Amino acid sequence: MGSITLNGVSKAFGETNVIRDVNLTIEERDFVVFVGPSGSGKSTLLRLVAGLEDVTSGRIEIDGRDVTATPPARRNLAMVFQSYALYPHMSVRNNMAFGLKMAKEDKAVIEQKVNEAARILELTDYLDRRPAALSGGQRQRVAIGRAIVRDPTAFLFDEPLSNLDAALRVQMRLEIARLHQALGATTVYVTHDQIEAMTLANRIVVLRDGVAEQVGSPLALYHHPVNRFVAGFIGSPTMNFLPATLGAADDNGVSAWVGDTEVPVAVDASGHEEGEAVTLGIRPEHLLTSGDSGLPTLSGEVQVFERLGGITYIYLRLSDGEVLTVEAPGDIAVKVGDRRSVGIDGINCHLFAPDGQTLPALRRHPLATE
Amino acid sequence: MAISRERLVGVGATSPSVVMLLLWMVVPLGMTIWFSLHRYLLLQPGSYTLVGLENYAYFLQDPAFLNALWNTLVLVGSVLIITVVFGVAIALLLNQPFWGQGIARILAISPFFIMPTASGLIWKNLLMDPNSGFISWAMKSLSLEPIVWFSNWPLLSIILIVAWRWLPFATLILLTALQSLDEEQREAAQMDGARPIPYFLYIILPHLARAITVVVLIEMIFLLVVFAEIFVTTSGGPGSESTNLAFMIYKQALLQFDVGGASAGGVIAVVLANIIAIFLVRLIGKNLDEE
Ligand SMILES: Nc1ncnc2c1ncn2[C@@H]1O[C@H](COP(=O)(O)OP(=O)(O)OP(=O)(O)O)[C@@H](O)[C@H]1O
Ligand SMILES: [Mg+2]
Repeated sequence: MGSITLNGVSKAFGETNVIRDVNLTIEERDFVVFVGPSGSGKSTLLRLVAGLEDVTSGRIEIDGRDVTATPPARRNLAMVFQSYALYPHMSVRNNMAFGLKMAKEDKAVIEQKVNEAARILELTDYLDRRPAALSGGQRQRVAIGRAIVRDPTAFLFDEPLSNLDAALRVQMRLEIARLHQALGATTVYVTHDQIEAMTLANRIVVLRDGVAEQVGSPLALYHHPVNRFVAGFIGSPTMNFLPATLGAADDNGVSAWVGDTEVPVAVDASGHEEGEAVTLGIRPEHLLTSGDSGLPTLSGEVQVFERLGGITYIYLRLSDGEVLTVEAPGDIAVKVGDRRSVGIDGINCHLFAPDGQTLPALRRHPLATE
Repeated sequence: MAISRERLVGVGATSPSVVMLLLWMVVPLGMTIWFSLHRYLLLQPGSYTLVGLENYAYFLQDPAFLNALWNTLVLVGSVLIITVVFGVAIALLLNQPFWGQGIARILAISPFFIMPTASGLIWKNLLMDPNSGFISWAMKSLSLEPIVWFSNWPLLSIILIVAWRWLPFATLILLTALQSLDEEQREAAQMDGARPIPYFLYIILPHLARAITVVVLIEMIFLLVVFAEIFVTTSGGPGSESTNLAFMIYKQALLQFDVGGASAGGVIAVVLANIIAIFLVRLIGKNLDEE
């Protein structure tokens, strides 16, 4: 119970194509997160699944049943909206019970389900309050409660935590993870937030302009992004991209020249010429600030640095004007204007062809399951 | 010192308007009360004597008073019900997207800008006239007996005319309220499987409660003193079948030339209006406190 299949789903509003040919299989108990920049169609895709929008073409199946033309109420999905969309004039109890009442569920059953959901979400003391008399986090829990009581095939969340403050967001994020573990229900979740995506999902869908650029586990996306867009989108701070030139290739990969520095990268460069212009990508956390590691180095002038306590971000301006973000230990000695070298390990580097596609890695990262 | 200075400026700045307002209210009210305590007949200019509460006793004991009071309540109540019920219905329709929506909205609102006297006359001569009126023509074309509105159904006629004028007002306020209904709430209800009727009952109606309260309170203020529509159509008749309190007071003063009695009626009307207002505010004003 709880698989969702999207088959060539497209959606256009008038002339604009908002979702283009998305194919996606969501397995039972999956926690799938849609991420992407603003306007990339995350909400629209979720609303297509919910039935709040009609597809322009393609097919949507839930548990193998074609629901493309089924109205939202009969898809047996529950949605948690960004604004919570609680009914302001109803008590918490009635908010949660509304869907069941509409389904003409037995009174005693409703009572029991609402109480159970309230217990799970620690809302028991607030059942008779109006939403206006609740804090943001409590309202969010009511919205989730309203979804839980209906015992849906799948939960749909559209940026549910974006209205909460940072501390509460962390707490609710854990709460949602806990709920997913406890209930084991299929969940589709839209977010802007890197950390939510990485921590909650077992599969992430990265959307750009309505196209699913990559679908995979969080670590697969982190370690093996299929193109430069995904590489830049996953991970924070974002990956550094440096212009490079392809050098000689052998069985262990290919060397990439960044200025005068030769970096051996373990990727398959077949189909690419020596001397071709590519882009080398390396994450800030993979650049090494500790002195003589024997690795190739890049050097530049410290432009700015940010101390976050545990770590320090250093922004190095390289000789060709590129700015490199480097993650360094929190207690590193650094001054603006310093010249510094950072070690660059080819094992953590990605190479992107001019069209943005990643050159395939020769070895998969051990944690990067599909 | 600073505070009292500030206060002084504040008092100084507001006092002209407060004084104006007081004069505006207190002088007519005071004069009315003053007249109501005197025997003051326009036909006997010489006699002007203090009679205490005699005018009140006379007015309250007049069988026409209870009749006028009843007519007033029926008029106010019916118009409120008609405007709220149809106002909600029309607002719901106008809130649907359709071609020519903007024009339709303006058309629906426009009756409110027509003077009561003018609308009374239009209804009387163009629509409800038993011989040449549109309604009679329509009924005759359906080979029905035309209704002699103002003779046979005087109060109903007045109610229709007044309701026609106030319906747009109610519609406008309710439509504005409808448009403020959160889109995600509608979708949440849709996901919850609410069909149109439960959706209306459980989501829309509670959402409109506040707007309905406002409509009722504002309309009531004006409906208690309906005059022009009666004046130009039935003149309170036949007999006193369509005489409300406002019209009865007018008759007392200017048809029977009894200023003292009319003033007493005016004071009684003010008191009654306040009683009804307090009652209504208590009853539905609760909606305003909620949320
Ligand atoms: N009802 C609509 N009519 C026309 N265009 C729409 C409609 N809804 C969304 N769009 C367009 O579709 C695109 C995708 O919108 P969508 O809301 O799915 O983006 P999103 O990824 O959820 O963005 P955000 O992160 O800002 O919420 C946008 O360009 C938006 O303007
Ligand atoms: Mg969105």
